[in-house]
Amino acid sequence: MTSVWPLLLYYLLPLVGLWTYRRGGRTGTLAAGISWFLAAVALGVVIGDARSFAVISFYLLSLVAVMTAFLVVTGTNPVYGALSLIGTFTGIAGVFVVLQCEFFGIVQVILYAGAILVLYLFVVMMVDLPKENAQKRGGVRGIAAIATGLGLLALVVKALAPLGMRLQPAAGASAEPYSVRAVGTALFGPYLVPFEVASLLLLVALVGAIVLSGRERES
Amino acid sequence: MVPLTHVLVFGAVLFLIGLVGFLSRRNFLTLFMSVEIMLNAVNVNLIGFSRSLGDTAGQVFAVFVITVAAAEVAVGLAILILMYRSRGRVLVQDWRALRDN
Amino acid sequence: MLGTGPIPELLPVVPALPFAAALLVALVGPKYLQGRSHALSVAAAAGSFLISAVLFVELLGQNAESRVIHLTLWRWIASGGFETHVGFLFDPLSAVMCLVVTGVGFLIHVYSIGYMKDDPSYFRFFSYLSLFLGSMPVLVLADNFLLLFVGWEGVGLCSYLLIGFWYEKSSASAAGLKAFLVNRIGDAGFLLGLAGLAAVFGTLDFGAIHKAVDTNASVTPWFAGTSMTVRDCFASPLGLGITVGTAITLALFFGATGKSAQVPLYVWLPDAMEGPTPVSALIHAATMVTAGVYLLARAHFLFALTPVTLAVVLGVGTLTAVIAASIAVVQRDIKRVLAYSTVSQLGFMFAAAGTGAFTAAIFHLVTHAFFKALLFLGAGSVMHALDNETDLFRMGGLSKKLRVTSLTFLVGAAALVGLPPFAGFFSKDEILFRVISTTNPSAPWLPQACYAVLLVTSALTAFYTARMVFLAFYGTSRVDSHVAAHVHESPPMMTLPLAALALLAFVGGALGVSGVLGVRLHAPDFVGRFLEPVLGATSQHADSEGAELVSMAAVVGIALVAIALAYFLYVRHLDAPAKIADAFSGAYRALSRKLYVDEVYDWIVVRPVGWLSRLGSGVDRYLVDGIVNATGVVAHGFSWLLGRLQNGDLQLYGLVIGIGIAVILFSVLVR
Repeated sequence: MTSVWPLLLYYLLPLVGLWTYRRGGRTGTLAAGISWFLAAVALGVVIGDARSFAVISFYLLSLVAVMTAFLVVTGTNPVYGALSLIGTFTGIAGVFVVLQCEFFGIVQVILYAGAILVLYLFVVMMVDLPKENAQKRGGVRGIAAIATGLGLLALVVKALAPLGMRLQPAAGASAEPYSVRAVGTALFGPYLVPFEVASLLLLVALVGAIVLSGRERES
Repeated sequence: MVPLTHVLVFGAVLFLIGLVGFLSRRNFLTLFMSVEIMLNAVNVNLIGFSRSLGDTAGQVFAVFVITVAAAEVAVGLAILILMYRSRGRVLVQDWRALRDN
Repeated sequence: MLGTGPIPELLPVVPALPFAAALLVALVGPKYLQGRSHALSVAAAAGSFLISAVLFVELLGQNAESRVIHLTLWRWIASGGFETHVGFLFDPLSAVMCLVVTGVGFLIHVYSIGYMKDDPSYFRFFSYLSLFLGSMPVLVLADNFLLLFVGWEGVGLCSYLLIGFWYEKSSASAAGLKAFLVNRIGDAGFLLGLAGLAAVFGTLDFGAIHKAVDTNASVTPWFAGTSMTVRDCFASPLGLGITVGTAITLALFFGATGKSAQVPLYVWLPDAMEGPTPVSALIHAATMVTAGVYLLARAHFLFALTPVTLAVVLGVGTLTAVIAASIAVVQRDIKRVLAYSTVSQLGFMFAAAGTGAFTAAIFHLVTHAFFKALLFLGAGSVMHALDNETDLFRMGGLSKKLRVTSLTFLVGAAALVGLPPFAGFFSKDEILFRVISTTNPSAPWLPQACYAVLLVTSALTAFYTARMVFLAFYGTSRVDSHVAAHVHESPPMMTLPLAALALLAFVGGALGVSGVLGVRLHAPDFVGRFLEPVLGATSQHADSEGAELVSMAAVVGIALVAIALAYFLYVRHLDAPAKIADAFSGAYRALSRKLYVDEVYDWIVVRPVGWLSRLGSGVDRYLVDGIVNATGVVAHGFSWLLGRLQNGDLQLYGLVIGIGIAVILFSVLVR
């Protein structure tokens, strides 16, 4: 058994803790504490003796991303959900930085945490959404969704488990391929045409958004 | 260094949280946010592989994913506003245009 | 050697010129050429003839053994062990055929300028005619059976198009369809024969097969799986007393009976007279219908191995000759008389082929091309003068007004009858003598019987030919008065080809004087010696000179008697034929109804096929369609059920996709 399954526990147990804590009461708090403790143990198993600042930051930042994503998905207030999403994006940006793709970390912050989230918040403020009725979620559909998600997760991790550590960063790979220069050269070299097409897509989306939301003025 | 498998497990957990959210929630805005989470999970995988294989292609594709996400959000939110204008709420059950009448 | 120099490369030009003309005329004819459409076609025909002549002269320059021009253009089909090329072969046999086809074709092109004048579809006619003149050289020059088959089908198509040229007439389009369908039946046999040849030899190349047969090489037939010699393979039984060789050659011969209008597939040719007369002359007398004879001559080395098939060929040829000649005796339509005469003469050629005398068959083919084309064109000239009147009993006494036509027609008729020294005399005499002097191991009595029947046939030939000539050109005029007022000789465009063909019909026989006459007159048997490298030597039967002379005298004598009888009946006592017809009303009716062959075919082939197709359509409509409709109903039901699932709920779709992915992953990962 490789260190994948403990990692799964490390990610999922805090979510269980968060969930029980939210349900309130003393039992919830207790369960949350136990979850957090077990998760910390699992983290210890995973990290083992690879104790470097970068590695530890990866696990902490990724846990932040997972937990805020959980809040986004489970929360009833869209405004809080949007704000939690900032945590998710920032956590992922941190992970990118840990992975030495600093450029992408920056792009992540500017585009997602900046532009896209602002758009979300605009809309949330604009449409004045009511709080979602708690009874309307869950039900058979929710249980089926959670079961499917957990089953898929188990299967994916099972598929990943045998890979073990084998796919560690390529031996002797220099930092060069991840630099801004490398990405830029690739974008404006071999990927020039797709890049231009992507910009065209953005233009179309821009026009589409304006046409769709601006229709009221005509009528 | 962080093993690739761990990055992939992180991506998988993120993706499936997004998926469960997409499948169980009723609010369209939350659905959009779930989709954003899923797209980000894909980006995590792409960056992880790019890092591991020493290939810039993964990052280039991540750029395209971001582009598509931006386009999707722009159009999607415009539609959401239209929905809100016509119905006063943005719940999934109101929108069943995919049904074959 | 011939491989160098420009000469072999000229070969493809022979068919290419008319093809190009056909295409051009079809493209620009309707808009720009109109009444000048003939220019391209005639020029192409002349060019083809000239090139053929140049090649022929080139061939004559070689010594007899190396008289072959061969050009392989490209590889056509390569499939497993089977390979075929597109290539052209110009040896003495194809040289003779090519000269006849392009030469007579050219003359008829010229004739058509006058005959088809003022036809609204002038360009279409010349486009078709050029298409034919391109396809026929492909047939003749092909160096393998498959390319020959391409030309074979090409000329069949042109025949169909030209018979139905006046498609507004329902009888014309029906006749075209009949010709096409009857030919299809024969072609099925031809294709089976080709498949058999390919199965035995693994190639369809004339040269390769000929060599394999000559050296009795070892072959590995697909159906046997073991290798054996050609002769053993041909002799291996196939059941019902038929050997492999007999089956293949019979299949090829069946194809030939379709194209060359032999029993039992001759019924299309008389109806083909619905087409314009130049077409009848070119396609249905001189060239295309002789393709069957050419096929047999081309594959003579195969037929030589199978005496049973040869006996069948001899019998069928003789039977066709006599049936067609007897029907011709009572026809009133001048073109139909000529059509049955053509069938009959083709029977003679097949009878010759059936005795192994392929040289005689080809010789008769050549002379027949001359005089039958001449007769048809003459008939066309008569029709031209008489407002398309074809009934012999509404002609008469035309010789005074149509001098050139009647004179040339007379030459053609004399050649057809076989009067010395006209062309038909030499070729027909040759055939008759070869029939009596042959022996066939599989049917010893057959040659003698066939000889007797062919003698009767030549008497009938003389009779119907004389009847036709007398009714049309001599005696009292029975032409309608308002038509008679403007009876006129045809323009020079039409009479010049007539004269040229008359000359050929007159002297053509001198090209192949053989046998006793050749010895006595010291005449060179030009055709026979020229064809010798391909078809083998003509045996000089000097030991039976007396018998041959007697045979010759008998033929001529009988012919003269028949002519005298015809003169008596159709000039002196024109009322006598009707009385005779009354006296033998049964026989007369049978003959004039063409021996009820069409009716019999209708009963045994057409109607059963009709019933079968009606049965098939019933099965299709109720059983097959029922199954199809049931499938549709079931599918519709299921789709209705599945449609319940498609309720427009986006999340349900997503859930199903997720579960699907999970199931796939599960089946891959967990076994």
